[in-house]
Amino acid sequence: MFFHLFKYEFISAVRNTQVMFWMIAFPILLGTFFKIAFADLYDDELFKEIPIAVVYENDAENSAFDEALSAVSSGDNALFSIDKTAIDKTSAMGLLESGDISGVIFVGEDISLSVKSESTKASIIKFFLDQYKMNEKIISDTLESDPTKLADVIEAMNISESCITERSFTGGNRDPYVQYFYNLLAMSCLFGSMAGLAVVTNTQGNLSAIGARRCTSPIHKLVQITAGLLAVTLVSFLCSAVSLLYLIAVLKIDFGAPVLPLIGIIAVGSLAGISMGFFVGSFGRMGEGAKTAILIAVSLILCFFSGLMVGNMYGYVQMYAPWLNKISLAALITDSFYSLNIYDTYDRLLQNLLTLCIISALFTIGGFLLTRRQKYASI
Amino acid sequence: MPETVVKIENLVKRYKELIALDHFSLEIFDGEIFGLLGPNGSGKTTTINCLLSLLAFNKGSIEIFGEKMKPDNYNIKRQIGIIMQNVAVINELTVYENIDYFCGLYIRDKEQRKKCVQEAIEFVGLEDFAKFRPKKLSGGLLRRLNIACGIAHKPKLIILDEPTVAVDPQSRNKILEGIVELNRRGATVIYTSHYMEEVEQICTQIAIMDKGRQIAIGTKEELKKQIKDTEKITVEVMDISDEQLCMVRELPHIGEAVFQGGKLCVKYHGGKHNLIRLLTLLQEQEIKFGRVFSEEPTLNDVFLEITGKQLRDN
Repeated sequence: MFFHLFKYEFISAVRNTQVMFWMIAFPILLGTFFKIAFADLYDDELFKEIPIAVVYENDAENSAFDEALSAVSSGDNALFSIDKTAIDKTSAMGLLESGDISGVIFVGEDISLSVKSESTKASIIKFFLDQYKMNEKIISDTLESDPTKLADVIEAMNISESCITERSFTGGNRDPYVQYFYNLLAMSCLFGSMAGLAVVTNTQGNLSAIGARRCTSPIHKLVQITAGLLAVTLVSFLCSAVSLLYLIAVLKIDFGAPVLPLIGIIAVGSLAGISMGFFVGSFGRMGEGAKTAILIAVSLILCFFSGLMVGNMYGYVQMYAPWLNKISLAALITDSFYSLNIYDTYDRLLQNLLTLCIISALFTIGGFLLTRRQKYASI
Repeated sequence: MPETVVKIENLVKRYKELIALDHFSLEIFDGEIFGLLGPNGSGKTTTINCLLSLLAFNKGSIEIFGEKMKPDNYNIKRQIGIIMQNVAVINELTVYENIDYFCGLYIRDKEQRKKCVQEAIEFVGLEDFAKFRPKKLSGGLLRRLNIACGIAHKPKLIILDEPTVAVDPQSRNKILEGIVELNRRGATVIYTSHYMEEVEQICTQIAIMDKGRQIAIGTKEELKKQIKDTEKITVEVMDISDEQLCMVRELPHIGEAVFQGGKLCVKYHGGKHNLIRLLTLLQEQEIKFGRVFSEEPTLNDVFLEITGKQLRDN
């Protein structure tokens, strides 16, 4: 009997075009849109060699500078690419004006720089020249004052220390844009709430004709609801899993973690989404359309606060209303993905999943209490 | 004496100030097609919902198959088939799947269920539409599917709440024939409608409801006996004098006789052979007459006489 109910609830949910659109088509479309939108941002952030020209005024020579410039303009991580076509000031300035190069270095008695406008690339070229000039001055001063210390000075110059140490916990993906995809999957899980709503609508005698027919059958209502909830949770999970696999396999999004734990988060997230729909559906006698609108709005608002539309929103919420991140289903799902990606321990992940399970249990128990009534005051 | 299938006693249902059922009582016996007739809002659907334990009521008692009806009395529910006023099918399932789903709520055995589903499909004539989804069906076919979902498990008591609303005449006839056939196969039927013709056509026992009360009960013949005018005869005549009209009025059992627009209309209060007596008089008086119409009173006339208003809304 239970399997009979489960089977047909599963088939109904899979064939429900509205539910399937929100649970699978919408996240896939939005994911593709994100990928296209973020592709340009990625490209902008990838470092490329800065094109420059070098003009030697009055046949000046500076072998030390040539060597330094050659060192930073060769290899895989070259800082500059030198345009060899610019052989004099006129041609070099022409290239600068047309935007083909970012700066012109003039080597004469002194070394000077000409750039078209202030920019990051111009700052990098300037920084390089300042650094060179400073080192050149230190070396010449050392030669004048105490040539015996030259070796020590050069050694000291080669030691470069940074105050900030970059540390990777798990070797995960620290790309900030991946959090949009965490949110996308959270949204996919929360849209499962509509399937949870359909279950309760179709088992309540005062909400639908199907509900009334089911209520007159010799099957306990809780059995029908349980079968329905399990079936739609499975459908919601499968839809979110397909969305995840699409992001990984087709859009090549790096979630920084193996697929199985990611799927585990989706399973708990789907349960949370369905239970939210079940709980909202159990409230009052509003029509299914109105409740669907409420669920979509709630899902999108929660996703907004967890960063679906504004990247650092999660951080703002953490700063001004941290309690919201502790109870928001979207924030908990998103943070679970983040924790799995970034941290080498599972404490935060497990805490998030446990919170999701507790909220799901509260929603489900609340829903059962609200729907346990078997007679209605009005139909 | 046939067994009592449904017994409703002093049922009261209030919606705040509105009294939907006012000490409503009813007894339905095994093998009957019991018609609940009344205008919209008279309390028919409320009675059915209370009967099925869907609706809480304020007072009274309901027994089905000799047991008190409660929401968790699954033994009773197992023997009931319900066809709601609103079509209650799952749009995502095919015709076959819908019937199988609802039948499966009553019958666990797969093979037995398969047979029942097939029989139900044949019974309502949806063999060619078994793989169709409900949205592809016409209104009439959808109603037939609705019925199939309610009867596939072969219930002993079938409750049909206005099953022919918005149905074309062909499908309506098919549905009515089906109900009679279900009854012939042994099911007791409760049929609610505000279409008096349907109730007259198929019901063996009829209760007329108005404002939540039962105002009359009996077979259609018994109900019609409750009113004064038992027969109405209309005769097309060229002309009739006042003297001859007085002679007509002196015939036995005459209630009223008027001549208007070339038609002689005569209403009778009981009596037999009224038509022969009238036509004999007309012949004797050498009154030329054309077509003759004889009408029996309808349930609408019964309702009109008891309540002073028409049964039908329109």
